[in-house]
Amino acid sequence: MNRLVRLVLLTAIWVVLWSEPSVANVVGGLVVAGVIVALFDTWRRGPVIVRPLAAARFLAWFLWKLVESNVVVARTVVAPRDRIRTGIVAVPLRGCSDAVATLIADAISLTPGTLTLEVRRDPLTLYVHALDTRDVEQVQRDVRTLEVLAVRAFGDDAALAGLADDDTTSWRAS
Amino acid sequence: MMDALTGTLAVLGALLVVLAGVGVLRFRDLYSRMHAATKATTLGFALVALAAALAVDAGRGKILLATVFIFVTGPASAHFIGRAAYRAEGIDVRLDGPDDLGDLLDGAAGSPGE
Amino acid sequence: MIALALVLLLVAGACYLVRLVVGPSLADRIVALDGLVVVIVAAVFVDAVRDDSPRFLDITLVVAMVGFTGATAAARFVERRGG
Repeated sequence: MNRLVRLVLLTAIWVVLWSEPSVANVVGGLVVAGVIVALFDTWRRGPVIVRPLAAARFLAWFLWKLVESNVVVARTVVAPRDRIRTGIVAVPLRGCSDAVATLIADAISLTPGTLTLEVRRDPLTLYVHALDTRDVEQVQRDVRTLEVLAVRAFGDDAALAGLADDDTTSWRAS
Repeated sequence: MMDALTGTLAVLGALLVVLAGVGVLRFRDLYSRMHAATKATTLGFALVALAAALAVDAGRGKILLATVFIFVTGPASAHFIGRAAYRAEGIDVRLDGPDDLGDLLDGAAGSPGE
Repeated sequence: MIALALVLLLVAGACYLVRLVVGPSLADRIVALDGLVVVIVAAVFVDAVRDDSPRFLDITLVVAMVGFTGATAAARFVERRGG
């Protein structure tokens, strides 16, 4: 199933690059994509899980944060820099798959005032550079909210169970 | 009507990209500059791409492809650079607040850092 | 409007270019170059609208890919040799 999805995706990219969905392009794309999928089996780390509703929620929250982060950066660029107190904060997470951890780390870099510098396993911990560390707990809360949203949208059952144990963060909290 | 919409989107996006550029110029240390570069450029770029995708007659697929690519790789390369810069010597990484990563690396290496 | 967007992108590109020249560290230059790639891609998009032709859009894909791999490789270099 996974392979089929990748085959279709790669073929679609090929056709887009040729900018014309002719028969020859589709066949050529299928051949190239087939060779790539057969040779490079890079997605071995478990199935891809997507829960549409939770994913939409994650996306909406992420887009909102992206806009907010731009307002924050814009304000910091234009106004004097009295708000800046930079620091690096360790944020322990509850644990999830590599793919979801990557997603969280990427999303952090695009949300207001935070930038992922380092990811450590066992236990899963993100080291986040923040522009404003006057309230360290606020920074950690923001990252954890993001984690809850991401796990609900894309996490496996084990990660979801981890959330249930210790579900103090509501996704509405920001 | 359509032209006005795409024009506004493009100008708004370009404005954000300029703001990011000014931030990269003005901010005092590497990490602050990276904050400006990764965030403001990404949204500004997305707006410009959206405007272009609405306005062109052909090539929407390529615009989408390039946009997705930049969205995925932007934070990733920021992470690489930030990580490398922290470990490299001779880069001015000014921190006013806590430095949990420094504590971690010092603990592992057993040597006092900055 | 389109011309204004292009001028703004030009200004942004100039900002990154100054940072690229000034540095001071190698990491700063990589950040500047990375930003410059995004500005260039955006400018080609706007130019495709102005020109009403998709002929330069392939450039954006190549520039984005080369920019990312270049930044990654340079980051490895910084990590080993210092900036």
